[in-house]
Order: sequence, then C-alpha cells, then structure tokens
Amino acid sequence: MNADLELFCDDVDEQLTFMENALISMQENGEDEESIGALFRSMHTIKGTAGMFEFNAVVSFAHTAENLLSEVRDGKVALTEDMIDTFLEVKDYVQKLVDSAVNETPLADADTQKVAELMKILKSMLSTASTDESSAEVDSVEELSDDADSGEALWHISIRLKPSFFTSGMDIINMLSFFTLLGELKKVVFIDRHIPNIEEINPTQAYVGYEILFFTDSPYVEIEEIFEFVIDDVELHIFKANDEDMLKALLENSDAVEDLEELLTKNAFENVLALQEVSKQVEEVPKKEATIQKTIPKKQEKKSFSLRVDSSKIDQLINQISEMVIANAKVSQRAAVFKDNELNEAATILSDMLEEVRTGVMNIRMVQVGDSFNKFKRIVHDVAKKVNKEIDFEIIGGETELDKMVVEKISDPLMHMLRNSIDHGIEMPDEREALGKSREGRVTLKTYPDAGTIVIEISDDGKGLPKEKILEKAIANGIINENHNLSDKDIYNLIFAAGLSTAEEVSDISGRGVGMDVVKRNIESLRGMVEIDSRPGEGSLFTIRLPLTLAIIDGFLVQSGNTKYIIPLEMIQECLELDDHYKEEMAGDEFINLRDYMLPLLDIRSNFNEIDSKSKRENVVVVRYGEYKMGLMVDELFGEFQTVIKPLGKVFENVAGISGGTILGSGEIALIFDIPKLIEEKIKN
Amino acid sequence: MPISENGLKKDTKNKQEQYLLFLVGDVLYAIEALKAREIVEYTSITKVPMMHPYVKGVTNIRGSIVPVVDLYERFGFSETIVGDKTSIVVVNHIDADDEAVQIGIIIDEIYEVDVIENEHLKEAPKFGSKINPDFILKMAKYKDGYISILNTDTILDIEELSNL
Amino acid sequence: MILEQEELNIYEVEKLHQVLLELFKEDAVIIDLQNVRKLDMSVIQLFVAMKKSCEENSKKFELLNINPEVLEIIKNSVTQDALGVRL
Repeated sequence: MNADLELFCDDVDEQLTFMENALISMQENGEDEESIGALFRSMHTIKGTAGMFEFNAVVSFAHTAENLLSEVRDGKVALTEDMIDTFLEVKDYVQKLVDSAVNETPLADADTQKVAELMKILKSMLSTASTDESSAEVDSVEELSDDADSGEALWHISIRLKPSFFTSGMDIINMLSFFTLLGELKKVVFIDRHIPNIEEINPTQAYVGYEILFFTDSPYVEIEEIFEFVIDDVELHIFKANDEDMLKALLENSDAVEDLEELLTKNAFENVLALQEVSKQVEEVPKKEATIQKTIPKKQEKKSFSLRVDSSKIDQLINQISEMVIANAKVSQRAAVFKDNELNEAATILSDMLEEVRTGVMNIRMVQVGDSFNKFKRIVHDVAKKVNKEIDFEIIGGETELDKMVVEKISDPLMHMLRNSIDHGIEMPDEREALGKSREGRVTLKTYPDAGTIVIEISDDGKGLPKEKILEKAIANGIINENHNLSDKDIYNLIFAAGLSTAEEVSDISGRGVGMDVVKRNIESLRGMVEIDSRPGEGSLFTIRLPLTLAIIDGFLVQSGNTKYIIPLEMIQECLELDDHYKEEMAGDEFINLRDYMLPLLDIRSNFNEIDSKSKRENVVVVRYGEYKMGLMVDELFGEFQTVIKPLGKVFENVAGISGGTILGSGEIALIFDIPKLIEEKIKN
Repeated sequence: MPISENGLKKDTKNKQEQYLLFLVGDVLYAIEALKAREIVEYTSITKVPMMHPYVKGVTNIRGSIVPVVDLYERFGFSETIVGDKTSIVVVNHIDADDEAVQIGIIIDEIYEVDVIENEHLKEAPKFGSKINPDFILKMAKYKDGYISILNTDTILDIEELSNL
Repeated sequence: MILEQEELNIYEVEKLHQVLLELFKEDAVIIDLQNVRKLDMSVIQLFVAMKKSCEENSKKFELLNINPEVLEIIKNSVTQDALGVRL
C-alpha cells in the first residue's frame, strides 16, 4: 500500500473511532450538540478524503449519511435510538467500503445489499424523505448532490495563499476539486498578478490565489472546512455573493496590483456587476459610515494538534540521545583527568539537558488510555445485545497515560476479558432480578497508576467463577492432582492455564479460538501480569499490571559477580546491608526476618550459577511486585540509572529472569532483571 | 544506468569470491567476506548467566547489544586468551525465521581479506578434521595448503546457542 | 528543453527554478512537457513567472507536448490563461 493510502486508512480509522465514541456517548447520555457536530465532521472528512482517491462508493454512502446528519444538526429531524443504531451500522459499512476500495476487492453481495438498504433507511429518515423516495438506489455522486434541499445559495470565496502555503503539504488544486463535491463552481478566477518574474521569484513561496463563485446547498462551515488543514496558510473570505458589505470590503482591500474589481468585472462576477449597478444608482447618496470589516471568524484560537509519527523515529531519537549521553560521559571523564572544572561543569549541564530531552521524547509515546478504551463501549453494547443482557459499562481513569504501544497491544486481551465478563459473568436480567440484583449488570474498566506500574481492573457483579467446574477440569486435564491444597484464589487463577476453557461449549461471543492462556501470554509479553479474584454470586475482578512504557525505565544499578544488573527502581522498596545480625537470623539461607516479615531471599550469584565474587559485603535489595515481596542478594549497589531497555535478542531468549540489556555511560552493558519472572520462579521452588 | 549493469553481469560471471581470513588457535580459517559486517577490537563483554560457556555474553557495538561467541571454545577447545590482536568479527547471521541477527565471534587475529577462485574449492571431508565437520562449508586451496571455510549457519545456529 | 521528471512538485521546484533561470538566457523559451505527468501549484506559478518575464522581454514562451494528465491539472486549477495553454 502506498503511503498516501496508508495515511488515508489511518485517518478513516480515527474518524470512525470519533464517530463511534460520539454515538455511544449519545446513546448513554442523550443527544448533545457537540457529539452531533463531531459525528458530522467525521463523516464529512471521510467523504472528502475518499473523494481525493475517487472512492466513489464511499463518497456516495458517506454523503447520504452526512445529509441526514446535517438535518439532525440543524434540528430538522430528531435523533432517535434507531437512528443511532443505524449510524453505528453505517460506521461498520463505511469501514467495509473503505477496505474494499483500498484493497481493490469487490464487496460481498450481502454487504452491497446491506449498503443499499442502509442508504434507503438513511434517506427515509430525512425530513424531505417523501419527495425522493424513488431515487433510493446507490447513485452516483452527482445525482446525490442534486437531491437538493432549501439552503441553496451563491457564495463568494476569496482565497490568497500565504507565502508559507506550500509547506502545509496541501495541494490547492486538489482542494478546488473538493468544491465540486459540495456544489457547483460557477466562476473561478486564478489570481496570478502577484507572481514576480523569474529572476525575483522565490519558488518555494506561494503567490497565487483564487476568486470563486460557488453555488451550493452546503452551509458556511462546510465550505470553510475544505480549508480546515490550511486555515493558517491562507487568507480566506467566504460570504454570500449578495452580501454587499463583505464584497465592498473585499474589493476595497485589494491592492493596485491586483485591482480585483477590474478583474472580477472582466470575468463577469455577477455580484460585482450587481454592486456596480447599485452604486451607480446611489452615487449621490453620501457614503455610509465605513463598514466595520467583518473578517471571517477564525477556527477558534490556535488549538494544539496532534501529529502522526512513525514510532521507529522516536526509537531512533532515543537511541541517538543515549549515544550522546555516553559520549558526554566520556567528556566528563576526560575533564576529570585534566582537572578541568569548567569543562566538567559544562558536561554536567549538558547531561542534565540530555536527560530532559530524553524524558520529553519518551513522553511522546504516552497516550491517554481513554482514547483507545472508549471503543470497548461499542463492543460491550454489541455483545450485550447479542446475548440479551443489560449492561451498565463504565470506564474509570481514562486519563491515565500509558505507552501507546502497550495500549495497542493490551487492547485484544482486554476485549476478550470484557466479552468473557458479559457472556459468562453477568446473569440474564430476569435471573438477576430473581436474585435481588438490579437487572443491569455492572461491568467496570478501571485504570490507575500504582508503584510505577499501571493497573487495569475489569470487574463485574455477576455470578463469579465456577470454582468446582474449574477444579474438575483442571484435575481432568492433569494440571493439578486431586489432593491439592490450593487456595480459592489459586484455583481461580487456574483459568489462565493452557487448555482450560470453562465454557462448556464455545460460544460465539467469547469463543473465537482464544483462551485465557493466550490472554495471559499476551500480557506477559508486555512485561505485565494478570490475576483474578472472584466471589460466588458477587462477581469477579481481573487485575492486570503493566509497565508504564516498554522502552525506558528508571533503574537501580547493582553488581553480582562480574555482571552488572539493573533493577527497575519502582519495584524497589528498600536496600539493606546483610550484616551479621541478619545472617544469624537467616532461616536456612532462604528468608530473613525484616521487621517481623519473613522476606524470601534470592541469591543472584547462586541463582545464576556465578562462581566467584570478590565482594564480601552483601546487600539485599527488597523488591515488590503486586502483593509479593522478595530480597535480592547482590554484591554491590551503585545507585539510580535511567535505563533504555534494549532487547538481548534471540540467543538469550531462554534466560529466565533477564528481560533485556542497557548500555551504561561507560559503554558497558548491564542486564535488566525481570523481577516478576524472578519472583514467580522463587514461588515455584 | 547501463554501465553499472554491464559491470554487475561481469562480476557474477567471475568465478571467485572474497573471503575474510583469520587465525583461531594458530589455525587459519576463512568466512565469506559478505557475511562479515565489521571487525572491531576486542572490547569488554558482559557475561549473561546460564548460557553455554562459549557464549561469552554481550557487547556494545555502536549502541547495539550484540551477542559474542568464543570461536575457539565453540570448536570444543579452551577459552580464547585475550591478547593485543584479539578481535571480534560481527557476522550477519540469517536465522531459521529468515531474520538477520548480528553475532560477534572472537578470533585471535585477522589475517587478511583475499580472493579465492571457485575452482580451488573442495567439499569438506566427512571426518578427519580437527573441528566438527558440520562447521566446515568447504575446503579451499590457499597458498601451499588447505584452509577451512567456516559454515556460520551451523556454528551460530541460534537454536543451539540459546539452548540452556 | 525537455523536462525529464515525471512529477514536478514543491520538492523539485528550486532545482527547476535554477534550470529555468539558465533557460531564460536563451532567445526563446520552449519547455517540452512530454515526460511530465503531474505538477503542483508551486510549479505552475513558476511557469507563470517565466511566461511573465518572457513577455516583459519580448521573448517567445511556450509549453509543448502537454500530456492529458497535466492538461487536466491545468484545467482544474483554471490556470490555462495564465500559462497561455489552450485546453
């Protein structure tokens, strides 16, 4: 796929997500202007960009939906539940149409039919529905734009490209073709009078403009929206052609070079001719007070906008900054050798600044989870409908920030777990009523930061996990033996074991060929962990714990044997010296008594089969992950270190307890402990 | 551009390849020069625990973490004694999934880069060589004797290296 | 002069400007667009500048062998008069 198309697809994805969010929000909270506006804009953008690629099927479908939306927005028709459902379907089929256009694969017959049907429904919902019921087939763009309603008008549009225009990356010629999607270009005059001669021109600056008479039933905002992406790069005046004040102001503002009045007269702009007629007649009338020049309302104050950046570019930046940090460390070293204080100071400042830059770059990767999680509302809505359950779904903590890549990768597991909760967790409404619960089942997706990790909880107030069934199956599958002494929690967590799907028959909803074991594996591949707790009759709680970001951590540098290691700082509770007092108390080398807490110990040297160590001083770093604590016995502590995580590669993929490596300021490599894995191994033994 | 096209054709017709020759434990070995990405002086290596002894650990090659294998030890001999001329050859290895992996190999000394005619190549003997015959791609007549052209695919087989 | 590029746009326009400045030293400016299939406004306005300069110096200016694709662009941008191109 070429880059333009890819961008188009991304854009459509984004717009469809906006639409969905707007629809779901209205479904929950009733109609609101903002959501309708968002809906309209998204549909409009899709139509426009699809037009650029001449995906006519998409354009015509989107156009029909847009027509209805514009009536809803203008209050001509009321938004109904049915309409929202229809728009949700429209959204799905826009996606299908786009996919088929982009991949150049024809749409399935059933889908084509459905599209036609939806178009019919959309048209039937229009306030003017009765008048054009006959033409409810999939028509061409032209025909569609002809089924007019009342708001037709002739607009005068004056555009001057600012010198910077070409840097916007937009093509003015392309933008002109947008007009033909909205209406009819009656007159177009190319303004070339400002173009200097060949010796003086700066070819990267824009000098040109257009004067346009445009006949359309689209309102002002829609015309203005054509210029949405270049609003800062053009001087734009849009007014009704018969608005004399605006026309006068425009003509008066034009300079001698341009002599707009003469030009437009020559090109027979009817509004200009009309104005001249009028002014001839009223020549004697004393000039009115200077009309206050109405400038076109600007698109709000300059809002912050978002960029779409290839994440590999950010990775590359981070790598380069890391290299700079290392190079700068060498400068510091030399400065120390030469006892050059000034140089040393400069290097220190530089290193602080580099750190700031690095943090800043890292932050680029962070996004609010809500933007992505909102799509679950739709899924919950659909699933609930399918299984005839009533669900009250809430997202809490959507503003929590998480690495974009983590958000994307956690999405599938979450979706699966949500489906599970609704399908298996929540009871049927009548059943709930009989149990004295509300008919609506509650499902909550809650996100919050905790101890340097992000916790995502999925809770429901359904019937809880079937403990006996899980046990039965686990024993039958040989996962545990019959005389186990597992706690309830341990039993519940067995559902993450491979080959233990409790649903008697795989249902359409949560079936789909993935089990909870896959969910668990996906989460672990993100360096996260997942747990479940459940109470019969009260519901279940899934807790997922994820690292903030995959690429960088605040680390604590230690040494064991000849190898340096990094422990993620946020998991460290405290550091202790393993003095004689503790050594005496040590229970068989496995535990120490830390303020009445029996802390399990892991000797890194023996765990990793390291033979020699020069240091006699032994230190214990107490780490916590979730509810587990453990002490790591190491030789030396060096302190905090900002750690860029790099993979060690396939050769080392079987080394348990090491999650990657990082390059220290000296150029040396330190290995990063995978604390959850180490704790897990310790618990196993 | 036509000129280079002709040039290319000529090259492929040429029945010779470039090889990187180096010493490991006083014996001259070669690998195809195309497989060698770069040669760096021996530099500090961070040991990764639990690995085969011949997987020495990882080193920093211009910002990338690269695994390092001691070739002499991999052949079944002892650990290389690091001297002034000890070097690391970074090899472009294509693994079983067709992905490129860079792996460094420790050698005693770089000998030279030289051309060997294809007609001077012979199949490797099934037995009788000092090292595992699977590690030898071809034997090549070079100067007065024969040298082994090493098979980096087998020597650096990721599955074997990563097996604990 | 024949322009070789298939697509002329803002990224090429500075180079093209240099070429045109050179060409402007000739008595007549004839630009052959047989290879060109796409151009953008920055290039069109550069051609207009060239045409203007030629007119000021009473030199002949002509765009030759315009492809249908480019004609379409000229039509869409309503620059036929400015460029002296007959549609």
